[in-house]
Amino acid sequence: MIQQKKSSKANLIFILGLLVLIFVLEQVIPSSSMLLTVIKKSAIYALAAVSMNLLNGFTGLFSLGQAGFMLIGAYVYGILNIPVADRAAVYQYFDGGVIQFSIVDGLQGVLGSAVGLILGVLLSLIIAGLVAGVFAYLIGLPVLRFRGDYLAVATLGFAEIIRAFFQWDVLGPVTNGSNLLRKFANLDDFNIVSGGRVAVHLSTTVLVLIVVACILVITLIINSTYGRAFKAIRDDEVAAEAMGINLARHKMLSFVISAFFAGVAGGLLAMYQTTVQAMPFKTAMTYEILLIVVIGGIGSVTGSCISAFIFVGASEWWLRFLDMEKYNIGGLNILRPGFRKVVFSVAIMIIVLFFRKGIMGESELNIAGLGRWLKRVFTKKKAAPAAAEEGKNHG
Amino acid sequence: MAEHVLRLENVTMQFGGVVAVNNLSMEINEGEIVALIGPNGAGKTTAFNVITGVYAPTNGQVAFRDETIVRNHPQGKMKKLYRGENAEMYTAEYKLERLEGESDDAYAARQDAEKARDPFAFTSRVFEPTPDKITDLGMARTFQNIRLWKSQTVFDNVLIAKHLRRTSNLFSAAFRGNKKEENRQREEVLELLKIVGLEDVKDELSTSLPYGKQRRLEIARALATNPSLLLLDEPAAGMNPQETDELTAFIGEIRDQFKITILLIEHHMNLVMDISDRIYVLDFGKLIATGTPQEIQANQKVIDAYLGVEEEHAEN
Repeated sequence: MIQQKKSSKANLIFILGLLVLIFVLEQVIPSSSMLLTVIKKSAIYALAAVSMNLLNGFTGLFSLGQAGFMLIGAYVYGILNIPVADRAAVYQYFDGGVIQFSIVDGLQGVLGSAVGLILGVLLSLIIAGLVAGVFAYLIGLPVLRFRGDYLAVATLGFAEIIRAFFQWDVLGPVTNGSNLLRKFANLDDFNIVSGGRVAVHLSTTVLVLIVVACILVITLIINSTYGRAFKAIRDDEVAAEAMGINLARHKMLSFVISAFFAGVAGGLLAMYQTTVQAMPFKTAMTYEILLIVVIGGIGSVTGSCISAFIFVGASEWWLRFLDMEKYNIGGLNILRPGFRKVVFSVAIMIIVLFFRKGIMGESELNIAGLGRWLKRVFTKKKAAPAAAEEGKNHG
Repeated sequence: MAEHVLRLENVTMQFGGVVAVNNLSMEINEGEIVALIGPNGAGKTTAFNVITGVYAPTNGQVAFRDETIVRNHPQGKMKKLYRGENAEMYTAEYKLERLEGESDDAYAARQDAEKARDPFAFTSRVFEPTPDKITDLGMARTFQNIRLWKSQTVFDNVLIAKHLRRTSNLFSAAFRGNKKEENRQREEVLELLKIVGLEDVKDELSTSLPYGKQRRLEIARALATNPSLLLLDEPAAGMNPQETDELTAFIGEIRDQFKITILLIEHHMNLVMDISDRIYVLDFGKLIATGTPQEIQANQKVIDAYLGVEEEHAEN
């Protein structure tokens, strides 16, 4: 128990350190830097992946509806936050739309710009999550009776339907049809501006802070008595039910929580992209998130976070050079646009073939454990020559 | 009427055309150890699954502490297929036939008696609770083929069973508003592990335990739900004679220590004869004998069921 407390304290300090590091980085390097982009996008994907992991990894429900819930979150956030003055321009094909208020603007009018922005954004993210959760509840009623692959197919179908639904012309006055939603409060609004220049960059830090808070809540749920019940359902449904765990209720709970945080991730994605459109929330997006979960380890929160960073970094940044034609290998110009995806696919195949349990398996990264592991590695290195010597003597 | 811990009445379970349990009635009293035995395929585990809510019976009812918990009558296509007895007993169509020369009072008295036996008599009420609700009432079971939560430690396996008796909701549990309850649960689990002798392996993975200890852990997990009736499905399956003897003693101990009633299915006759107060014998889904171990041992029908009968003998 005492050791547990100590290690969770160390983990908290590590996370705080990470936040401080990101804050400092943001001030030092230019805001257009690739590193910041990768950090932002991977933070959002990490949240989406952890929420998917809660369902797939911890409750054992194989669901592929994540992109659908993110889409709902993104739209809700966008719709609620377009300033009234800009509505006519955004909803130009739908006479300015039917919703004529903006949460952030409204709160800023009452509470001042800074407090209004923070509260407004948090409130609309929570609403985005809640709406996604309500959708999940309604879909869960019929769909959660399915098991295994059938559930995956049903949720996949839902995600596709919801995407078409949001692009439907009839809903245009609310969703703007297949046109962009834009001009809502985004991450750059958090930067503190003085005299026309950005004095303190906060966009990345704020985003990471929200993501960290959400993942912390998910971790708390996983480690609570409810999380233990989820794991029991994953391990053996029949035994879980026989030991008094109400399957329908707990599966629904996990499904709704997962959708809630996917919705929040969707809202954050809207803030990051500054625009929302239904098109990008395709099945491919769910697969990307699933890939992150699998690479990180099904059933590992920290694994999902680490692999989100690696995945986004690799696909957006580190493997970019493969797309450029300026490198010549042996007189052959094999590097050309699209080659990145070939290498990426091969890398993923290697991971799936040889590291089936992902980076972390089912274990979690913790700082105290990492320290012990490093210590072991170092003492082993010292011990290894001695052991070799001994082996020789015996031989 | 004395209170029975568990009372099965005319329970029939039919799968398609196969009648797995046929019109089974049995009673279990407070503090008893009752064994349900029978040759392979006799329907023992099916009866267990009906009691614990895994299957809804085709017909019949189950009462726990004189409260009807499971009740059903043949429905849908089972109406035509049904080959068991008392097909109408649990529907609104059920009527008592008037005996010859019976007075109105006597008839009413018989109807009242029927209602005392079955509070929902003369109605088509159906009760099909899920297994978790039945466990909530105070019945816990183990499985014929061990079903522990494989990725969890011994300690967590027992702790998860405590989830049922929580008072916390999702928010208080997530934000640790239930610290008192959580700590109390952990202490109780530790206490329980001490009693069943698994304290020294509490941090090991449940599947890394030897077979006999896994059985014990399953019993400990069932006990963690605070049951008043414990159902053991072949607790000694796959055990050698020494392990079986230990288990026999162990079952007696937990009955005395936790003051619970036990219903068990078992093939090891030594164990059954040693600890059972009463025995029910099933064969081809039908109850063929019931009584004390001595009576059962002397019962010709039981011996026939287990050893088979010669053709000519059967014809007599």
